[in-house]
Order: sequence, then structure tokens, then C-alpha cells
Amino acid sequence: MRWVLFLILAYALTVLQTTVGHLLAVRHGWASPDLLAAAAVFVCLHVRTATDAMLGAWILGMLADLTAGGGTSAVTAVGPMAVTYALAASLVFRIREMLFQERVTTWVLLTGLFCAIAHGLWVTGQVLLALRHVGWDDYGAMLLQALAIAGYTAILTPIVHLALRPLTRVLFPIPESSRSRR
Amino acid sequence: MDFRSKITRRNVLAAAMLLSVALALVPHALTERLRDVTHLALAPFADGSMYVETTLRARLQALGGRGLSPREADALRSRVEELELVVQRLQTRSERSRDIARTATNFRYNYGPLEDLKCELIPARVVALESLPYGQMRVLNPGQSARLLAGAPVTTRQIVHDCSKALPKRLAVVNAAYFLGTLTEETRSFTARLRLVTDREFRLRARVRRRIDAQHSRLVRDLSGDAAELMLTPENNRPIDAWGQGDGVARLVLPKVSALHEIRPGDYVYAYPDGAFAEIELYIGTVERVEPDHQDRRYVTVIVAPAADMSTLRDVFILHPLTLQTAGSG
Repeated sequence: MRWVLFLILAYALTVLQTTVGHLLAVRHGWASPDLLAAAAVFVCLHVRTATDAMLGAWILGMLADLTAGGGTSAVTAVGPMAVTYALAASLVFRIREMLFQERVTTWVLLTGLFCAIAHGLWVTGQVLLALRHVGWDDYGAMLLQALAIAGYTAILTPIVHLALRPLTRVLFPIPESSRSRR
Repeated sequence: MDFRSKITRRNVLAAAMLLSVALALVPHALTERLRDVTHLALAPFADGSMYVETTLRARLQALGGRGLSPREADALRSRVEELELVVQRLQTRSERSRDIARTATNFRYNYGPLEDLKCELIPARVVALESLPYGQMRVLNPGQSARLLAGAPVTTRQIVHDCSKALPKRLAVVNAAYFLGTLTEETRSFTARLRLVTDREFRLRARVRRRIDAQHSRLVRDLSGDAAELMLTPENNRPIDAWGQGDGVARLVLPKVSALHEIRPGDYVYAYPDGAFAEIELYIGTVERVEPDHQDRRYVTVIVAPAADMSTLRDVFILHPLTLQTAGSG
């Protein structure tokens, strides 16, 4: 993977997510699509190694963490989303071989799974880090919100993946060794 | 020893994961520096995108506006007629008092000390939203200002006024603007973060002012005296103070308000003038509904709909008191 280009893409996606991405929000912003998660699944489907998938997802997760500070306590901790993105990417990378990667259904299912795991773990982690501020009612409400975000992101994933498709060759070049074998 | 050979992607990933765990455990002040740097990096490009976001949303909302039903239109018409009568009555009364007031006002204006709200209004612009919808925060760009204080109230910049009256340029009417929330602790030059009243972690002391409606009079209990039932009139309509908290979506909730106050939908809600930042009551919105407290029937939960449209928020004012010492100055 070309990491510099990937970082530029991650930056652009973060700008989109923190601004115009909220145009797609529903119920007064209760649920909005997680474009960074959809992009993380895109990376998982195209990279060659699990390490690359996890590193890419970690960067996207860290950006999500750094641009979101509200939710469970006065200020949420930085770091948990990066870890949960990386863990979810590892799982998605492992199960991608079992599915047809070019199918829209695969993108939708994998993104739903990715988001549910990453956001579910993030909410749990943040609640545990801020137990003094958050009650179990809030935890339940946030978990429900996380599932709604996962479902909504999954539905919109095909659009994100189709928009990113032209970048596939630029971001994930075929190594010389593989080319010569052909 | 060749250190470069040790820098494998696997090692980088391990270091990154360890860094995440460490960041989650260190004090918030340190990580907020990181957030601040990120917002600074995002602001130049996010500003343009935010303009697109707020403009588009405002247009879409204007297109999708719901029309009034015949019943609502009738109710509105009768309400307008009723208000017109009230206006006529008030106009006659005010004519008389205006003459008396004019003399006194002119005298005070010419010879008395200048009275104004002891605060500076710092214009700021919303440059980014939260990447995740769990919190209701906004990133503001107040320019190169190191005078911002945590907890400073933020209001809308646009005011709604009678279109037949021309307003002077650069006029800012704070008590006609809508209260949006307060600045969080992490306030730096160029970027500041606003926690909206609807955020789950937002807490404030609110003040409810009951609306006196000629058609729907209400009986309240005099809690300061012998708790006797009496009709709500302008004389006994005392403001009700209560603690409020955002619901995490789009409303402000005032739990545990005494049911004896007889708060009803349509009553006005203001931010309590705490004195440190604002000496006036900043308008938040109106009571949307009142729900009984199922655990204790003596109380009700008041749900407040903010008057400001948070989704199209763009230009705001930060209230900076002139009487307080500024943080980070000097």
C-alpha cells in the first residue's frame, strides 16, 4: 500500500466526515454514517497482509478518535477507537477469503460487522473509562446508537466503495515480483 | 546492531497499539493537545465543507417544510386575532408611559453613565462537527484570540426582528440571540470546542418562565407561602429554576421539577444568569412536553426544544466577560 497517498485519503475522508458527512445524519444527528469505517473495510479487502489492514484501520480509527470528543464523559479518551478499528480489521481480513470480494452484499455485511464490533467495543471501552459519569441506561442507549450507526453505514457502503474504486490501482499497486510471474 | 531492520510493519503496528492504550490512560489534558492539533490541521479545508453542509441543509429544510393543517391554521388565526387585541391594548397603555419614559431616558442618555452588558462578543465560525455522532460538539474558529475562557456561553449571531424596522449596522443584541452551549475546557488559539445544550454531558442551571395565556389560565400553588391554589398572573409568575441536561440527540431535559409549578408546553426556558459570564438570561427555547416522573409523582420531567437550529449552525458569538481575568493572556 502507498502510505502517503493513504494518509492524504484518510485526511480527506476525515474532513468529509466532520462536515458534509452530517448531511446524511438521521434523527437530529443520532445516527450518521461512519465513512472512515467504510474506508477501513475497503482497505481490508484490497491489502495483501493482515498487518497492512490493521495499520490502515488503526490510522483511520485514530483520526476518528481525535475528531470526536463527546459522548460518555466530559471528554472521551483518545486511543480506544484506533484499537477497536485495528481489531475489527484483523477479523474482517481473516474472513474476507470466505466471501466473494466483488459482491455488494459482501461489502455491506463486512462493513456492518466491522462497525458493530468497532463501535460496540469503543462504547464499552469509553463507558468503562468513565464509569463515574455514565450510568447503565446511557450505556444501553449508546450501544443501540452504535448498532444503528453500523446498520446505516453498511447500507451506504456500496457508494463509498464505488467512489474509492478508481483509487484502487494507485493505493494498492501490484508488486513487481507478482507482475513478472504473470 | 541494525535498527532499521527492526522497524518492520509488525513492530510499527505493535507500537501503535501500545501508543493507543497509553493515550487512553494518560490525563485528558495531554490528549486534548493532540485533538487541538488535529482540529488546527482540519480547519482550513473543513471550513469550506462546513459552508456547503450548512447551506445545503438550510436549503433542504426550507424545501421540506411541512404545511399547516386546516385546524392548525384556524388556531393560528384566532391566536393572531387575540394577539392583535392585546397589542392594541398595550399600545394605548404604552403611549402614556412612553412620554414619561422619554424624558427620563433622554436625560440619562445625555448625562448618565453608559450602561451596557459587561461583555465582549467574539465572533466565531463553526468549522467542523464531530466525526462520530455520540456527542453534540462543534469545533469553532474564533480567530487568533487567546482570550477565550472555558465555560463561556455561546449564542447564535443571527437575530429575528421585525422586518419593518431598520437596524443599525454591527448591532448585536445578546438577549435576542439563542443560547447554544458553552465552551469546553480545551480552548486554544484558533480553535475552541463548543458543547451544545443537547449534548449528553451538558449540564446547566435553567430558568423556566411560564407563559400567561388569556385563553388557558392555570392554577398554581404558592410554594413560598401556605401552598394555596391561585391563578397565575404576571404578579405571582415567579421564575422556576431547575437543573438541565442534554438528551444526547436534540433536546434539553429538566428532570425532577415540582409538578406544583404547572409547567406547560410553550413555556420559555432560559440559561440561569450565573453572573460569572452573563448577567442576563439567555434564551434557550420552549417547553416541548412535560412528562410525569414515574418514580415520584410529585415531580415532572420537562423536555425543552432549543430555539436554535443546531444542524445549520454556522456563525456564533462567544460571550467574553470584561470583568474576568483572561486565561492564557499575557
